This record gives sequence, structure tokens and C-alpha cells, in this order.
Amino acid sequence: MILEHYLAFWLHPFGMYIRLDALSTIFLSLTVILGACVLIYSIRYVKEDRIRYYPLLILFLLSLSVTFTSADLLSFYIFFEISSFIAYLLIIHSRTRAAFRAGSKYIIMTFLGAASIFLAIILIHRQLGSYKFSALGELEVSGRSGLIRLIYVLFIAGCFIKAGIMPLHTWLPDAHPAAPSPISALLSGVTIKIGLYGIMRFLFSTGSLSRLAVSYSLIGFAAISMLAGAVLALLQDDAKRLLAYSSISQMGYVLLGIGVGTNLSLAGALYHSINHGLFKGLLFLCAGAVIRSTRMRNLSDLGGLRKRMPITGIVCLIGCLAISGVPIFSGFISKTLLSRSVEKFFCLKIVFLLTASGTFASYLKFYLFTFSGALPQGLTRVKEVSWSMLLPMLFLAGFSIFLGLFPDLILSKVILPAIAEISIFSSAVKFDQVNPLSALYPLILGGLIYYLGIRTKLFFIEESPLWQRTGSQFRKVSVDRFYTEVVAMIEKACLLFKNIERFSFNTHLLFILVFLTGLVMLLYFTPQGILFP
Amino acid sequence: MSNFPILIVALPLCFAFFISLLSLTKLNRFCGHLALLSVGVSFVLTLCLGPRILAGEKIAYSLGNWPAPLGINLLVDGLSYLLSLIFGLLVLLSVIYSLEDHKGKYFSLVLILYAGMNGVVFTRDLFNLYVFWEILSISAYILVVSPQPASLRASLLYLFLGSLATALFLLGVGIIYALAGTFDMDALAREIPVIWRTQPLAILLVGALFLVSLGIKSGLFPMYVWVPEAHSLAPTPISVLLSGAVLKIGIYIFIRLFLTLFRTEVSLEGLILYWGLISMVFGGCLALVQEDLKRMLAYSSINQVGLILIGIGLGTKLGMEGSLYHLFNHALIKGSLFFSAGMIIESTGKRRIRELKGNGIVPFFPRFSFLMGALAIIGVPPLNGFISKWLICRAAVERGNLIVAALILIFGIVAAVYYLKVVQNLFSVAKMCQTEKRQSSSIPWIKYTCLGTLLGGSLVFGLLPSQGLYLIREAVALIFP
Amino acid sequence: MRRQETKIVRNVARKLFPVLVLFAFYLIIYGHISPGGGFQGGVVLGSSLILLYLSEGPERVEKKFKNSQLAILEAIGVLTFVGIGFLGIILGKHFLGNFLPIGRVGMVPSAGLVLLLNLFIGTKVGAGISLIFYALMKFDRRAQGE
Repeated sequence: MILEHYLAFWLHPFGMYIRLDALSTIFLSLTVILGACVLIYSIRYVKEDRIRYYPLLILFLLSLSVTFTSADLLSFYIFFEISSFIAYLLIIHSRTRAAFRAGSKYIIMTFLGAASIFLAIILIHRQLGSYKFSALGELEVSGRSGLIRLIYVLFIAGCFIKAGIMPLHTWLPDAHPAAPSPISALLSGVTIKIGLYGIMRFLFSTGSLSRLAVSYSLIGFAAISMLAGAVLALLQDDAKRLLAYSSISQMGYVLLGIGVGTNLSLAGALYHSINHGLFKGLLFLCAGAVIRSTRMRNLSDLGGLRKRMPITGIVCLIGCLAISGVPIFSGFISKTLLSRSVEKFFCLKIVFLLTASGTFASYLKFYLFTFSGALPQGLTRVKEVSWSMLLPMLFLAGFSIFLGLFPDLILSKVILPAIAEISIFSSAVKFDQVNPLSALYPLILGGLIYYLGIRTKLFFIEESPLWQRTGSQFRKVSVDRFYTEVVAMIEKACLLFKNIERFSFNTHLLFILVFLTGLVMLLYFTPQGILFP
Repeated sequence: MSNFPILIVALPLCFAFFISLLSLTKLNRFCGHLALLSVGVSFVLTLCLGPRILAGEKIAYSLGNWPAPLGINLLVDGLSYLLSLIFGLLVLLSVIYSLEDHKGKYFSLVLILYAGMNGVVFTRDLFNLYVFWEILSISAYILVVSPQPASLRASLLYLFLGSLATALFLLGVGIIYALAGTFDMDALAREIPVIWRTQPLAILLVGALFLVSLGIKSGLFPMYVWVPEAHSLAPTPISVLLSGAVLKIGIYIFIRLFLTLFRTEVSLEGLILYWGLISMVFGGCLALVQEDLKRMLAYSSINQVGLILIGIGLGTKLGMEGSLYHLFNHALIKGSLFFSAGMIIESTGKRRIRELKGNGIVPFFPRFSFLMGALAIIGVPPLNGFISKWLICRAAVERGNLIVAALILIFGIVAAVYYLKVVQNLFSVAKMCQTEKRQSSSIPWIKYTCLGTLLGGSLVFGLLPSQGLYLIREAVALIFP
Repeated sequence: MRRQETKIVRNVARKLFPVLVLFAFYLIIYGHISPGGGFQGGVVLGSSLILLYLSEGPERVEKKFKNSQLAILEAIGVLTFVGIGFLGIILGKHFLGNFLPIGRVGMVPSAGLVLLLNLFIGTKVGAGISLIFYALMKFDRRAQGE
């Protein structure tokens, strides 16, 4: 069933449509479920500035919901931008220097993405005369191929920034740790999916996946994100940074599913977005609980909390197992669907194996460093967090197991209608003939990586001699550093330009005189106005 | 009703001199209220003209009942009505804002400024336009002077450049009179194509003189130098008027003279487009590295005026729509930004952006409205700046000028950078002590009403763009019938 | 302080002053039929005061023609001008519409409102010019004092 409604009171002459179909429903319900959990969780978590926090949070959820239910590009863009900005205000909620830095980076990159999407939207409107998603089908045949290609690049690049796909991801690992943990959960669970939702809507409405270039480039970026995200997650010491890098890697999975474009892969992608929303939300809430009760966030400082925070430990374990793709948990289903859809490509299979093992190793690190081992001196008085924080976590953990136990139910009731909505092919996707033992390879490899990482101390950038020798070389290739340098260069150029302010009055008068003369000459020699065709 | 155009201009003028008489007596403290009364009456009269103007009517008035080519004529059409509305609103709010802080002569100057602005937009006589322009400029020069000693310098700088501009304009007017033998705009519109055929060079010279003088007055790129000085050092309500109204007069005269009168064979579109582009880029880049809050706002004004010019230079109906809408929006937004910046500076005593950090003593409302104003000018959707920016971008894309559209969007992000820098400093964690906190509540509520009106306006015209487009429809129809 | 001018200058200036004022009013009143008018006459009026100021020194002149009086005169000039304009509206004509008899061409009381308007413009300009001069001299004195 599809509900569509024209919002007449808002932006009247330009129109604004709200539409609820199966695809929107998936993301909308994810928003609502995670949003409810976060609202309950925040009661005890957020202590300061509640008067600012709650209205913003509710507005944030509202704008996210409308983003997912918009039926035209314009309202999609508008709510995309609104939600981005509210997310910015929430990220800087703690109002520390680090939060401001992270927030600035986030907002600049997101605005860049939004501007790119906006330009694409205006171009689409120029081509089609309409903003509606349903009109997009004619885009392919509406104009020069170069222009259409430009529209694709602009739109997809904007969505990549929002989704944190490498190499446009650099806001993500900064923003997640800086935000309050419930907000990180929402950012990672829902917000970054807007980008992928946009790509899904756009590509399937325009039917541009039939272009091999689009498909291959999506797969390429997805593979880069998966691998690099997993590797970088392994190296992090900050718990929330680890989760953030892992998000990049998981978004790579979803993008891969979209890029392959078969029904099977699309089912995997949608399934994985739901799963990721739930278990990444759960993990961020767990990290938040740990941070709340210990006031520490570096994994190397933590340890032995299993005894002190038993329930958090258990739900965290569930989250870690789910994201690593262990059978009976939800991650297993979606990862299996995705890996089956790329069975023909050998390279992608290798990427899958490596990413899955890297993910497992990083979550081994996350869990073991936090909850097992010896309890450090300072943490002997740590208590379990309150029930209002535990309940949402328990709920999300239960949901993750549920999604892992009944894949066929979810596939037939939720995912397939959505695929029918956007995909032209119609074929049933079933979750059968799966060998649970296939999940064993990445687990074994992941365990091996973890063991090696501990033995060689590669996990700790500060302590490892290898990193100290090669670290500077590695940092040279960091995209984040590249972006920062570009921004610094622009600022330097502007500062250079600022010297114009020091010119004397006479110099400015000279400018005016020169300008006047130039204008007369210009007008004299180009009386027909050749400046403009 | 038929006398309204002259009443709108003459009432403030009359009251201005009455106030300057009153300021010599003991009733000095009522000057502000009297000014408020007269601006209010004048504004209400402007509003009363609204229904007729927006229905497409033009209201003409000849002084002393002398018909067109002999006497001075006033004409209220869509374009002048739009401008007059902006001026009325901003002057009203400025007078309200300054009720507590200023007295006497200040109000009489503000009223003269108001009369001059309305005169410029209503008149149909080229020389009369020059006179009104001079009147408003002179009162603006004086109003820029505030208790800060540096403001005298700024005022002098403004005076020099402004009188250069008006002198160039007068020169152009003189040449036109010598050629055409009349000042009346309607007669000139008929005469100039005839003269163009025989003496194109003279018309080009006049055009160049006018362009330079308008460029100086609206602070475009190579002749912007007075803008940051005057805007940053003037008293807060005057900064609002300078940025929201006085800069716009240059643009108005440009539209009036070049687009509705002197439609000669020369196409100025390209020139205006690139000029606006350069101004926008320049203003944005310099605003990025400013340290003074109000200076930054001034450079941002240069940026926005550039954007308005781009819309005009695109030469399409959509572009003109976006441009006029942005002109209106910019007046609202910059008004609220300058008002809140003024309150912030008043309550902290600091004006460098870096020093605003950690000041818990700024009351919430100015901070909030600064944030909202920043959002509006960046072009974040539910606010009005988004609509106009979107219209201009669309016009650029439809004209085939993708790079212009991309630059507009990029400079929106640049604006985000410099505005959010301030917002972050304003909202950073407060380290206040009790004494400071008590001081902070000294901003009278009446000043908040000014901010509230402008904020409400920018929200309404963002949510209901149909209303805003209705306001500017007649003005656009004048240029693109 | 500024030293006193010579006796010759002071005497000539004192004798010249009423003549200048007379000339000013001639220019104003005959403005509508011969070269002259409110602005020109007003400037002559102002300069007659300036001449007095330069020859007699600031104290005596500013005592006789007080700053505040001149300001009032200036404001009244404009107010009456605009008031006459409004009177035109009230009497059923346009702003500044003529409501006086036109009279015979070439005579002094003729051309309706123009004579009145010239008179008030002359007052305003004369007072204004003198005020500007006062302000400049004050500025000069302050600069010398520092």
C-alpha cells in the first residue's frame, strides 16, 4: 500500500509530497525504533542542557522521518539539510573544543554533500520539469549524455559524503566520538543511511544501474570502504572511534549490495541496513554506558568490567557477535545474502573474507579489552548503569537475535515488498541452503588477526615500534590530512587577500579610477555586449 | 489616498525638522517617540497603498499639479513599493531599537534618511532622484558617527567615497540633460534610443559613470572600501539600515535606470553577472578571515549584494525574481544579524570573534537569533534565504551557467564556515561569575521585539514563499512583462 | 585667541553688513522674476554674517546671533516650507499646489506661492550656512586650543 499526500501549507507554489511505500517504511521504522530507544536511554545519560537536547532530538527524529518519506527530490533535499543541521547542533552538544572541531568538519562536509545533491536536483528539474521521484525514469533519455553523467556524479557524491563512504568519510570518525553516545547511535544507525537510501531511490528510479560504469564504480568504492574501514577500526584505541570506522566498513557492505543490483544483493543490502541500524545502535549505547560509568573511553585504559557491569557486558557481546556475522545472530543472515550475491566475483569474495575477519578481530578487541581481563585500579567502584539505560539496550539485543532467527519472515514481509517497489525484476529471495559453517572461515581468520595484533602490539599506535617507524609515512596518505591541508591553503590564500584592507585610501581611489576607465573602454569596444551571448 | 505618495515622503521630513526644534527645548526626551510616530504613520500609509499596487496599479502624483515633463512626478509601482516596504520596516525597527540609547538630532537624521530613501524610490525625475539620494547619503554619513573615535574616520571615508559617487552620478545626469533636454524618466525612455543612434559614445559614458557611482554606493568589489568601515563602526541600528536599506538603493537605481529606462542596444547582463560574481567571491573570502564580528557581517553583505547582482545579471525572469526576493530576504536577515550582533557586543563589551568564546553573559535570545540569521543566510531550508538562493541557482542552471550555480552554493558553504565560527564561540561553555550574570539582563524587552519581528519574517517568508513571491510579482512584471 | 582685525576692516565690514542683508533679501524677493532666488539669497545672507564674524571676532557675533536661535530659524524655515506644501493639500490642491492669486507678470507680489517659498528657503539657507560656519570655526578653535 502506498500513501501519498501533498503538503499544501508548506512551500506552496513549489509543492511538497510525502509518500510512504515499503522502502520508506523500512527506514522509517528503523528511525522510530532506534529513536524510541535513544529517547529512553537519554533520560539518564544526558545530564546537562536538557532543555536544548530534547527538542533538538525530537526535531531530529522528525526530520529524519520526513527525509525517508519524501516523494520528491526537493523535500528530500530540504529535510536532508534540516536533519544535517540539527545533527550538527547535537554533535556539538557537549560544547568542548573537540566537539566543535568535529562538528565543524561534519557540517562543512555535509553541506558540501548537500550542495552537490542540490545542484543535481536543480539540473534534474531543468531536464524534467519536475522534482518527483516517479518522474526520474525519463532522466536517461532527456538530454546529452555528459550532462546526465554529471547529474549522477553530483548526486552520488553527495550521498557518499552523507553515508561516509571512503574517501569522503573523514567527518565520520571525528563526529561519532564527539557526539553524546545516544546521538552517535542515531547518527550511525539512521543518519548515514540517508545517503544510501538516496542512492537507492535515485539509481533505481532512473534505472541507471544498467550502466556498467555506475555499477562498477559503486562496487569499487564499496570494496575500498569495507576493507579500509575494517583495517582502520582495528587500529583504534578510542572505543567510539573504533565503532565509527566499523560503520564505514558496514556501509561498504550495503553499498556493495546496491551496486551489484540483483534482487538477492538488494535484499542483502536492505537486510544489512536494518541490522546495522540495530546492532550499531546497540554497540554505541553500550559504549555510552561504559563511558558513563567509568568516564573513560580508551580501550587500553579499560578492562575487566564483566563483573562490574554484567548486563551491559552480555548485550555488548550480543552486539559484537551480531556484527561479526556469527550464526543465529542477524549479521550472519545479511552477510550471507550479500556474499552469495557476489559468488561469481573472486576478488569480491576475498574482500568479503578479509573484511569479515577484520571486523571480527576489531570487535574481539572491543569486547575483550573492555569487559575481560584484570580490572584496573581506578575502576573498582564502577557500578552497572540504571535500568532506563539498560532496557533500550536489551530491547535492541533481543531484536538483533530475532532478526537472526526468522530471516524468511523478514524477507517476505518487509524486504521483498520494498524490492518490488524499486527493482524491475521480480524474483523471490529465500534464505535457504546455507551452510552455517561458512561463517567459520572469517571467524578463524579474525581470531588469528587478533592474536597477531596483540602479540606484535600492532593495535597500539603509541606503543608499537613498527608504527613509530612507519606512522609518518602512513599519515601522509591520509585523506583527512589532505582535506585539512586544502582548507588550510584556502584560509592562507584568503589571509593573503586580506592585505588589500591595508591599502591606503589613495590606492582605493586609484582602483575606482582604473575601474571607471576600464568600464568605459569595455563598453566602447564591445557595444553589442559580447560579454554574454 | 491620492496624496499618499507625497505624504510618505514629506511627513518624515516635516517631523525631522520639528524634532530638531524640539531637541532644543526641555521636551528633548520625546524626540524618539515622535520619530516613532511619524515613521509609523508613514509605514502604515505605505501599507495602505499595498492592495492597489499588488493588484497591478501604478499610483502617480505630480507635485504642485504640474504635468509630467515640467514638474516633478512621483510614481509608486511594484518595484518602488517593494523597496519602500523594506525601508519602512527597517527604519521602524531601528527607531524602536534606538529609543533608549539615542536622543534629539539622531532621530531627526534618521527621519531625513527615511524621507530620502522613499523619495529616491518614488521619484520619476532624474535630478530629483539625485537630490534625494544626496539627502539620504548625507544623513547616513552623519549617522555613522558613534561615540567610538574611529567611527569619525569611517564616516569621513564614507563621505569621501559617497560624494565621489554622487558627483559622478551628477555628471552623468548633466550629460543626459545636455543631450535630451529633460529629466523626466518617461520622456528619457523615449529620447535615449534616439540619441543612441547618433551619439552612442555619450550614452556609454553616462552608463559607465552611473555604474561606477552605483557600484560605490552598493559596495561592489573594487569600490567596497567604505562598507566594512562604516558598517562595523556605526551604531547598531544604523548598521542595520546601511546594510539592509542603503546598499539596496544602488541596486534599485540600477534596476530602474538600466532595466526599465535605458534599454539600449548594449547588453549589460554579462558585465553585471561577472561583477556580481567577483563581489560575491571577494566578500566571502574576506569575511572568512575577519576578526571583528561586525566587520565580518559587513563583508558578508558585500557577498550577498554580489549574489543579488548575479540574479539580475542572469537576465531571466526567474533570476530577477530570485534577486528581488533575495534583496527582501537579505534586508530581513541582515537586520536580525546586525541587531543580535549589536546586542551581543553591548552585553559583552567585546567585538572580536575570538573573545566571544566562553562568555556566559550573552542572553539566550540574541544568540539564538544570531544562529537563526546565520542559518537563513547560509540557505538552510526552512528559512527564507534558502528560497531566494534556490531561485537564483535555478535561474543560473536554466541559463546554462552551471559554474555560477556551483559558485553560489560553494559560497553558501563558505558563509557557513564563517558564521558557524561565531555561533560556536557564542555557544561555547560559559565560565561566568555571578556579578557578570546580573549585568546581562539589562537589555530592554523592546529591543527583543525588533529581533522577533525580523526572525518571524524570515521564518514566514521561508515557509510560505508564495507570499513573498506575491510581494515581488509586480516588481518583476515591470521588468519582464 | 584670534587677534582683533584692524579698524579699517571692522568699520568697512560693519558698514557693509546691512547692505549685504538688503542685497540678500533683494535676491530672495525678486527670485521669481530675475536671476536669484531662495538659495542664492540665502547664501548671501549667510555670508554677510560670516563677514561680520571674521571682522568682529566670534564672541560678539555669537552673542548677538546665538547658535540656538539660528538652529530654530533654520528648522522653522523648512517646517514652514513643508507646511505650505501641506496647506496646498488641505485647500484641495496638490502638495505645493498654488492657492494664492497669481498676480500680474513681472510684479513683485506675483507668481503665487513662489515668493513665500523663496522667502523661507532663504531663511533656512542663510541660517544653515551660518551654522555650518559656526561649527567649522568651533572645530578650528578647538584644534588650536589643543
